[in-house]
Amino acid sequence: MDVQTEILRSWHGSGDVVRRAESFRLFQARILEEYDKMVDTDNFVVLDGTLPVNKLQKQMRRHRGFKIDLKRFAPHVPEPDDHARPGKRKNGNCESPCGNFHTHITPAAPTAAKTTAPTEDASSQYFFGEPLVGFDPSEITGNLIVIEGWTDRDDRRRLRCCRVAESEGFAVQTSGLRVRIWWDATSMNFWPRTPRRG
Amino acid sequence: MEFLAAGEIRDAAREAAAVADADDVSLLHAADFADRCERQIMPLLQGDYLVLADRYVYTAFARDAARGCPARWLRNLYRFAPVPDITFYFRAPLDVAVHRILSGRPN
Repeated sequence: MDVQTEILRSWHGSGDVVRRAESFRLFQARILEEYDKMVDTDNFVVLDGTLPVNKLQKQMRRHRGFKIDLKRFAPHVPEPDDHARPGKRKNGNCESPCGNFHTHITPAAPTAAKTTAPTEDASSQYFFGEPLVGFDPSEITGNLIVIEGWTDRDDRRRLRCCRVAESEGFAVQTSGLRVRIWWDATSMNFWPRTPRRG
Repeated sequence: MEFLAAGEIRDAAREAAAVADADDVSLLHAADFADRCERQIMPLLQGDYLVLADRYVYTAFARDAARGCPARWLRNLYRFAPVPDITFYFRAPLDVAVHRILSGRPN
Protein backbone atom coordinates (compact mmCIF):
# COMPACT_ATOMS: atom_id res chain seq x y z
CA MET A 1 0.00 0.00 0.00
CA ASP A 2 1.51 3.30 -1.04
CA VAL A 3 1.63 6.31 1.20
CA GLN A 4 -1.23 8.08 -0.47
CA THR A 5 -3.54 5.09 -0.20
CA GLU A 6 -2.57 4.62 3.43
CA ILE A 7 -3.43 8.22 4.15
CA LEU A 8 -6.73 7.93 2.33
CA ARG A 9 -7.66 4.79 4.24
CA SER A 10 -6.90 6.49 7.51
CA TRP A 11 -9.80 8.86 7.02
CA HIS A 12 -12.12 7.10 9.38
CA GLY A 13 -9.79 4.86 11.31
CA SER A 14 -7.67 7.28 13.22
CA GLY A 15 -9.95 10.27 13.27
CA ASP A 16 -6.81 12.32 12.97
CA VAL A 17 -7.81 15.72 11.68
CA VAL A 18 -4.52 16.25 9.88
CA ARG A 19 -4.70 12.96 8.06
CA ARG A 20 -8.34 13.51 7.21
CA ALA A 21 -7.40 16.85 5.74
CA GLU A 22 -4.65 15.21 3.74
CA SER A 23 -7.09 12.58 2.53
CA PHE A 24 -9.47 15.29 1.41
CA ARG A 25 -6.66 17.08 -0.36
CA LEU A 26 -5.68 13.91 -2.23
CA PHE A 27 -9.27 13.40 -3.25
CA GLN A 28 -9.49 16.93 -4.61
CA ALA A 29 -6.24 16.36 -6.48
CA ARG A 30 -7.81 13.36 -8.14
CA ILE A 31 -10.83 15.41 -9.12
CA LEU A 32 -8.56 18.06 -10.58
CA GLU A 33 -6.81 15.40 -12.65
CA GLU A 34 -10.13 14.14 -13.94
CA TYR A 35 -11.18 17.66 -14.92
CA ASP A 36 -7.91 18.19 -16.72
CA LYS A 37 -8.48 15.04 -18.73
CA MET A 38 -11.75 16.47 -20.01
CA VAL A 39 -10.35 19.84 -21.10
CA ASP A 40 -9.53 18.59 -24.58
CA THR A 41 -11.98 15.75 -24.98
CA ASP A 42 -14.97 17.89 -24.02
CA ASN A 43 -13.73 21.20 -25.39
CA PHE A 44 -13.63 23.08 -22.12
CA VAL A 45 -12.91 26.78 -22.26
CA VAL A 46 -10.35 27.07 -19.48
CA LEU A 47 -10.33 30.28 -17.47
CA ASP A 48 -8.13 31.24 -14.56
CA GLY A 49 -10.33 30.55 -11.56
CA THR A 50 -8.20 32.73 -9.32
CA LEU A 51 -9.17 35.90 -11.13
CA PRO A 52 -11.83 38.21 -9.74
CA VAL A 53 -15.34 37.56 -10.92
CA ASN A 54 -15.56 40.74 -12.96
CA LYS A 55 -12.45 39.81 -14.93
CA LEU A 56 -13.78 36.31 -15.51
CA GLN A 57 -17.00 37.77 -16.81
CA LYS A 58 -15.06 39.94 -19.21
CA GLN A 59 -13.07 36.96 -20.44
CA MET A 60 -16.23 34.95 -20.94
CA ARG A 61 -17.82 37.71 -22.97
CA ARG A 62 -14.77 38.15 -25.14
CA HIS A 63 -14.06 34.49 -25.74
CA ARG A 64 -14.27 33.74 -29.41
CA GLY A 65 -16.04 30.50 -28.66
CA PHE A 66 -18.87 32.38 -27.02
CA LYS A 67 -20.84 32.62 -30.21
CA ILE A 68 -24.27 32.24 -28.77
CA ASP A 69 -26.39 35.08 -29.99
CA LEU A 70 -27.76 36.36 -26.71
CA LYS A 71 -29.95 38.88 -28.46
CA ARG A 72 -31.92 36.01 -29.85
CA PHE A 73 -33.19 35.30 -26.35
CA ALA A 74 -33.83 38.87 -25.39
CA PRO A 75 -37.29 40.01 -24.43
CA HIS A 76 -38.72 42.30 -27.04
CA VAL A 77 -39.31 45.71 -25.58
CA PRO A 78 -41.09 47.82 -28.16
CA GLU A 79 -40.01 51.34 -28.80
CA PRO A 80 -42.33 54.01 -27.43
CA ASP A 81 -43.48 54.71 -30.95
CA ASP A 82 -44.86 51.22 -31.16
CA HIS A 83 -47.67 51.98 -28.72
CA ALA A 84 -47.78 55.72 -28.53
CA ARG A 85 -50.56 55.81 -31.05
CA PRO A 86 -53.53 53.52 -30.67
CA GLY A 87 -53.87 50.93 -33.34
CA LYS A 88 -50.26 50.99 -34.38
CA ARG A 89 -48.74 47.66 -33.55
CA LYS A 90 -45.41 47.33 -35.21
CA ASN A 91 -44.43 44.13 -33.54
CA GLY A 92 -47.77 42.50 -34.06
CA ASN A 93 -47.71 40.95 -30.59
CA CYS A 94 -50.04 43.29 -28.80
CA GLU A 95 -53.54 41.91 -28.95
CA SER A 96 -55.12 44.53 -26.74
CA PRO A 97 -55.83 48.04 -27.94
CA CYS A 98 -53.15 50.30 -26.56
CA GLY A 99 -54.70 53.61 -25.79
CA ASN A 100 -51.81 54.50 -23.54
CA PHE A 101 -48.16 53.69 -23.71
CA HIS A 102 -47.11 50.60 -21.84
CA THR A 103 -44.40 48.08 -22.33
CA HIS A 104 -45.04 44.62 -23.63
CA ILE A 105 -42.42 42.02 -23.07
CA THR A 106 -42.79 39.21 -25.49
CA PRO A 107 -40.44 36.36 -26.20
CA ALA A 108 -38.25 36.66 -29.20
CA ALA A 109 -39.36 34.76 -32.21
CA PRO A 110 -37.70 31.37 -32.30
CA THR A 111 -34.95 31.30 -34.81
CA ALA A 112 -32.87 28.52 -36.12
CA ALA A 113 -30.07 28.24 -33.61
CA LYS A 114 -29.64 24.62 -34.33
CA THR A 115 -31.30 24.18 -37.63
CA THR A 116 -29.45 21.10 -38.63
CA ALA A 117 -31.89 18.73 -40.16
CA PRO A 118 -32.53 15.76 -37.90
CA THR A 119 -30.69 12.73 -39.04
CA GLU A 120 -30.46 9.20 -37.84
CA ASP A 121 -27.54 10.03 -35.61
CA ALA A 122 -28.86 13.43 -34.57
CA SER A 123 -29.04 12.29 -30.97
CA SER A 124 -25.29 11.87 -30.85
CA GLN A 125 -24.96 15.51 -31.84
CA TYR A 126 -27.07 16.81 -28.98
CA PHE A 127 -26.66 14.15 -26.32
CA PHE A 128 -23.83 12.22 -24.77
CA GLY A 129 -25.63 9.09 -25.91
CA GLU A 130 -29.32 8.96 -26.55
CA PRO A 131 -32.08 11.30 -25.36
CA LEU A 132 -34.59 10.53 -22.70
CA VAL A 133 -37.67 8.80 -23.99
CA GLY A 134 -40.08 11.23 -25.58
CA PHE A 135 -37.58 13.94 -26.49
CA ASP A 136 -36.84 14.67 -30.11
CA PRO A 137 -33.35 16.09 -30.67
CA SER A 138 -34.60 18.14 -33.59
CA GLU A 139 -36.81 20.10 -31.20
CA ILE A 140 -33.85 21.52 -29.31
CA THR A 141 -33.59 25.14 -30.32
CA GLY A 142 -32.26 26.65 -27.09
CA ASN A 143 -28.70 26.83 -25.88
CA LEU A 144 -26.97 25.31 -22.89
CA ILE A 145 -24.07 27.08 -21.18
CA VAL A 146 -22.18 25.24 -18.46
CA ILE A 147 -19.88 26.52 -15.75
CA GLU A 148 -17.52 24.04 -14.10
CA GLY A 149 -14.80 24.40 -11.53
CA TRP A 150 -14.28 25.42 -7.95
CA THR A 151 -16.26 27.96 -6.10
CA ASP A 152 -14.93 30.67 -3.90
CA ARG A 153 -15.67 31.15 -0.26
CA ASP A 154 -19.30 32.09 -0.62
CA ASP A 155 -20.00 29.35 -3.14
CA ARG A 156 -21.38 31.83 -5.60
CA ARG A 157 -18.46 32.43 -7.90
CA ARG A 158 -19.70 30.35 -10.77
CA LEU A 159 -23.19 31.62 -10.42
CA ARG A 160 -22.09 35.23 -10.44
CA CYS A 161 -20.22 34.53 -13.64
CA CYS A 162 -23.34 32.94 -15.05
CA ARG A 163 -24.87 36.34 -14.57
CA VAL A 164 -23.08 37.47 -17.69
CA ALA A 165 -26.37 36.89 -19.39
CA GLU A 166 -28.28 38.54 -16.60
CA SER A 167 -26.15 41.64 -16.91
CA GLU A 168 -27.24 41.79 -20.52
CA GLY A 169 -30.84 42.02 -19.41
CA PHE A 170 -31.90 38.39 -19.40
CA ALA A 171 -33.73 36.71 -16.58
CA VAL A 172 -31.67 34.08 -14.79
CA GLN A 173 -33.25 31.63 -12.42
CA THR A 174 -31.48 29.07 -10.30
CA SER A 175 -32.81 25.98 -8.63
CA GLY A 176 -31.56 23.19 -6.50
CA LEU A 177 -29.67 22.94 -3.27
CA ARG A 178 -26.25 21.68 -2.60
CA VAL A 179 -25.61 18.33 -0.97
CA ARG A 180 -22.42 18.13 0.98
CA ILE A 181 -20.82 14.74 1.27
CA TRP A 182 -17.28 14.16 2.33
CA TRP A 183 -15.79 11.17 0.66
CA ASP A 184 -13.05 8.75 1.64
CA ALA A 185 -11.66 7.87 -1.75
CA THR A 186 -10.55 4.34 -0.97
CA SER A 187 -12.68 3.02 1.85
CA MET A 188 -15.86 3.77 -0.12
CA ASN A 189 -17.42 5.62 2.75
CA PHE A 190 -19.10 8.97 2.86
CA TRP A 191 -19.35 11.56 5.55
CA PRO A 192 -22.55 13.48 5.05
CA ARG A 193 -22.54 16.97 6.40
CA THR A 194 -25.36 19.31 7.10
CA PRO A 195 -25.55 21.92 4.36
CA ARG A 196 -24.82 25.44 5.41
CA ARG A 197 -27.79 27.64 5.87
CA GLY A 198 -28.10 30.80 3.91
CA MET B 1 -29.79 25.77 -12.39
CA GLU B 2 -27.35 23.87 -10.26
CA PHE B 3 -26.22 20.38 -10.99
CA LEU B 4 -26.05 19.04 -7.48
CA ALA B 5 -28.89 17.10 -5.95
CA ALA B 6 -31.79 18.70 -4.16
CA GLY B 7 -34.90 17.85 -2.21
CA GLU B 8 -35.80 14.26 -1.51
CA ILE B 9 -32.94 12.90 -3.57
CA ARG B 10 -30.52 15.01 -1.60
CA ASP B 11 -31.93 13.73 1.67
CA ALA B 12 -31.87 10.16 0.42
CA ALA B 13 -28.28 10.56 -0.73
CA ARG B 14 -27.29 11.88 2.66
CA GLU B 15 -28.99 9.04 4.49
CA ALA B 16 -27.61 6.39 2.17
CA ALA B 17 -24.16 7.88 2.04
CA ALA B 18 -22.99 6.20 5.20
CA VAL B 19 -23.60 2.72 3.85
CA ALA B 20 -23.62 3.07 0.07
CA ASP B 21 -20.67 2.62 -2.22
CA ALA B 22 -19.59 4.95 -4.98
CA ASP B 23 -21.67 3.28 -7.68
CA ASP B 24 -24.84 3.46 -5.61
CA VAL B 25 -24.45 7.15 -4.89
CA SER B 26 -23.61 7.80 -8.54
CA LEU B 27 -26.84 6.10 -9.56
CA LEU B 28 -28.76 8.18 -7.06
CA HIS B 29 -27.30 11.42 -8.35
CA ALA B 30 -27.88 10.32 -11.95
CA ALA B 31 -31.52 9.58 -11.18
CA ASP B 32 -31.90 13.01 -9.67
CA PHE B 33 -30.26 14.63 -12.66
CA ALA B 34 -32.43 12.66 -15.06
CA ASP B 35 -35.49 13.98 -13.27
CA ARG B 36 -34.31 17.57 -13.48
CA CYS B 37 -33.15 17.10 -17.05
CA GLU B 38 -36.61 15.94 -18.02
CA ARG B 39 -38.52 18.52 -16.01
CA GLN B 40 -36.30 21.58 -16.22
CA ILE B 41 -33.58 21.47 -18.85
CA MET B 42 -35.19 19.78 -21.81
CA PRO B 43 -38.45 21.73 -21.82
CA LEU B 44 -36.48 24.96 -21.75
CA LEU B 45 -34.16 23.89 -24.54
CA GLN B 46 -37.17 22.86 -26.57
CA GLY B 47 -38.75 26.21 -25.82
CA ASP B 48 -35.82 28.13 -27.28
CA TYR B 49 -34.51 29.26 -23.91
CA LEU B 50 -30.98 29.92 -22.80
CA VAL B 51 -30.12 27.53 -19.96
CA LEU B 52 -27.24 28.30 -17.62
CA ALA B 53 -26.03 25.30 -15.65
CA ASP B 54 -23.97 25.86 -12.54
CA ARG B 55 -21.98 22.67 -12.94
CA TYR B 56 -23.15 19.82 -15.03
CA VAL B 57 -22.51 16.16 -15.71
CA TYR B 58 -18.79 16.88 -15.87
CA THR B 59 -18.90 17.29 -12.12
CA ALA B 60 -20.16 13.75 -11.84
CA PHE B 61 -17.61 12.53 -14.35
CA ALA B 62 -14.75 14.02 -12.34
CA ARG B 63 -16.04 13.40 -8.83
CA ASP B 64 -17.25 9.85 -9.35
CA ALA B 65 -14.20 8.87 -11.39
CA ALA B 66 -12.06 10.11 -8.51
CA ARG B 67 -14.09 7.86 -6.25
CA GLY B 68 -13.28 4.89 -8.42
CA CYS B 69 -16.17 4.63 -10.87
CA PRO B 70 -15.09 3.69 -14.40
CA ALA B 71 -15.16 6.68 -16.74
CA ARG B 72 -16.88 4.75 -19.51
CA TRP B 73 -19.59 3.58 -17.11
CA LEU B 74 -20.19 7.16 -16.04
CA ARG B 75 -20.46 8.39 -19.62
CA ASN B 76 -23.01 5.71 -20.30
CA LEU B 77 -24.90 6.52 -17.13
CA TYR B 78 -25.40 10.14 -18.20
CA ARG B 79 -25.89 9.39 -21.89
CA PHE B 80 -29.28 11.13 -21.83
CA ALA B 81 -27.73 14.50 -20.96
CA PRO B 82 -27.72 17.14 -23.69
CA VAL B 83 -24.28 18.26 -24.80
CA PRO B 84 -23.61 21.89 -23.82
CA ASP B 85 -23.01 24.52 -26.44
CA ILE B 86 -20.09 25.81 -24.43
CA THR B 87 -18.44 24.85 -21.15
CA PHE B 88 -16.41 27.31 -19.11
CA TYR B 89 -14.01 25.64 -16.72
CA PHE B 90 -12.67 27.78 -13.91
CA ARG B 91 -9.41 26.11 -13.14
CA ALA B 92 -7.71 26.85 -9.86
CA PRO B 93 -4.53 25.41 -8.35
CA LEU B 94 -5.07 22.60 -5.89
CA ASP B 95 -4.18 24.71 -2.87
CA VAL B 96 -6.66 27.38 -3.86
CA ALA B 97 -9.36 24.84 -4.64
CA VAL B 98 -8.96 23.04 -1.32
CA HIS B 99 -8.88 26.30 0.58
CA ARG B 100 -12.07 27.45 -1.07
CA ILE B 101 -13.85 24.23 -0.28
CA LEU B 102 -12.69 23.97 3.30
CA SER B 103 -13.27 27.61 4.08
CA GLY B 104 -16.92 27.09 3.33
CA ARG B 105 -17.31 24.09 5.63
CA PRO B 106 -17.64 24.15 9.37
CA ASN B 107 -15.46 21.12 10.14
